[in-house]
Amino acid sequence: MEKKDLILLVEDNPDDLALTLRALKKSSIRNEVVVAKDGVEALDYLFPERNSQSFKKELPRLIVLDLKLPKVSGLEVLKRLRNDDRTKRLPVVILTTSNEKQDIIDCYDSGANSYIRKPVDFSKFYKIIHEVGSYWLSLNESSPWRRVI
Amino acid sequence: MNINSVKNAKPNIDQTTGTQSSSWLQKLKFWGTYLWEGPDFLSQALKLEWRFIVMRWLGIIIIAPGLFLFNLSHQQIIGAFVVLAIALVYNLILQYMLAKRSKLLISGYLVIFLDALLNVAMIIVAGGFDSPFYFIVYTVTVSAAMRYGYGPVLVMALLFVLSDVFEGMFFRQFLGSAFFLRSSWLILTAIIAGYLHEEAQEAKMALEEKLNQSNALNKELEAFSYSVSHDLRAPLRSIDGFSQALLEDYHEKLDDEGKDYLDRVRAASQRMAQLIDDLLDLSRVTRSNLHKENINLSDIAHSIINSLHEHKSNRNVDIKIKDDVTAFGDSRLVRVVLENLLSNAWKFTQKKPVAKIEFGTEKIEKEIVYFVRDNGDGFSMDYIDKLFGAFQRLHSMEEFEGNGIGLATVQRIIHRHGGQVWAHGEQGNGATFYFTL
Repeated sequence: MEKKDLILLVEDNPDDLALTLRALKKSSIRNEVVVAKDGVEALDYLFPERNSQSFKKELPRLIVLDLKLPKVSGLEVLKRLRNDDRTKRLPVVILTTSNEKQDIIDCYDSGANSYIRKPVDFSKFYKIIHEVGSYWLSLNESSPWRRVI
Repeated sequence: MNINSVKNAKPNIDQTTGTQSSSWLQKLKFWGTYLWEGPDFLSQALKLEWRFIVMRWLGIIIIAPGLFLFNLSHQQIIGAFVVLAIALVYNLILQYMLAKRSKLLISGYLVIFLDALLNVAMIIVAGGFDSPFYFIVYTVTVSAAMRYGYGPVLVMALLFVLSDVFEGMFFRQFLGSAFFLRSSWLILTAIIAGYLHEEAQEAKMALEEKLNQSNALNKELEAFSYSVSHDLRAPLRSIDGFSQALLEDYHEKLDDEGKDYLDRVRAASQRMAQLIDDLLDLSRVTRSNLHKENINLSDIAHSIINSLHEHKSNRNVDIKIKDDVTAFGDSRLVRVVLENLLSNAWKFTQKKPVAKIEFGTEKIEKEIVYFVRDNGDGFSMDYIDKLFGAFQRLHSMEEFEGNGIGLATVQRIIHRHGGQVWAHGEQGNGATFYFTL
């Protein structure tokens, strides 16, 4: 069986994490999900040279990024991703609670591919996750990327 | 307005001593304050102008008797008084304009220039003036004092006076009338201008401080609403999401009552999310910048009514929208105003067999007043003071849905445009909302 591409889910709220995973499961997205609980964890995963025990890691096909994160903010993570040749073309979907105009502008300026506001209504949230998954993981043709860093 | 300011500034005589002499003193104090502060409505800049005028009065009063101290010819004295009279009229006109709140078209510097012209003319007539150089020195000195304060200007004025003394000692009669007028005017005006400069400086600093404070406050508010939008919604998502999970995963274990409770939990969390969003929108209305332009309110009203028809059809509503109603305002925000007023009208007429909604204008005291009128449920005028408060509702949720934020938003937008909004209603008999922009 062909190995499925990875999703990197950056989310600090355990409830939101559980709900997102549930929505992924319910929309039959079988891809492996790597979870980072803050900006530092996300960067450590994506740039293994950042920590001493570096080992080869697989780059995700899709990054789902929350904005308000402990330590390093989502926007900061996005900027660092776009500054590195290995990750600059990885699709990044911002999934956040904020709909502040400035946040949306900042994200697109920093190279986000999509910006989605988490709805409170879980039925809507489920639909969103389903559509994000099917669009970015199967419909969209991603730029070729080196899977292993 | 003058009457108002008098009322405000007047100390309460009856409650203090009440004797004749103290009330006379109070009056004097009041007029002194009025002469110095000017009417209440003057802006800081205009207040300074007002004081300049008052100071000029003082100058005229001091200088005029001085004319008699010297041996002047009849023509010189008559000439001097003619100029003084012109100065009086000029001063009166300026003061009248300020007191009447009319916008001063002439800038401060033009006033100084005219002042200089006037004073020099006075000196020429009264004291035999010899050089146009004086005129330039006068203007430059006073302007510089307005800009840079006492220090450099007083030095300049003193140098000028010294040169006058020197000139008088060697070339003509020392301490002549021309010298008296020139130097006293110059020093007096330089001191006044310098003082006004200090005042302006202080006012500027106070203003800057205020601005800094309000900027800090704005930043804090922004951080607050950001945190509200992010942090307050997150728990709601958990409440809604896990209720849904219960409904799906434990479907068999829950009876109908249990499911109903969970449905209520979900409905409430979604309603609260809507409330948070509305509150955020309200705070954004006050924060965002105004982009004023000419807008066609009739077009906006038509498009709002069309979308109301699309979303909530199956209703028989008699709509009347006046053609070509225009206004000068922020089109996005004014649209929010009309959206709120028209959808309110739409909502509160839903129980009427024939609903009537009208948008039009009236002229009240030469001002165009826009209105939205309906024949819906209306409201009792007893509650008029609650009408525009945030989260205030005059109906139960069963009667009419809503969260009481619409009219608060309307009021904020109108106030930001410098307009006014008011309403008239009757319980069960329709309502009319008026606004100006």
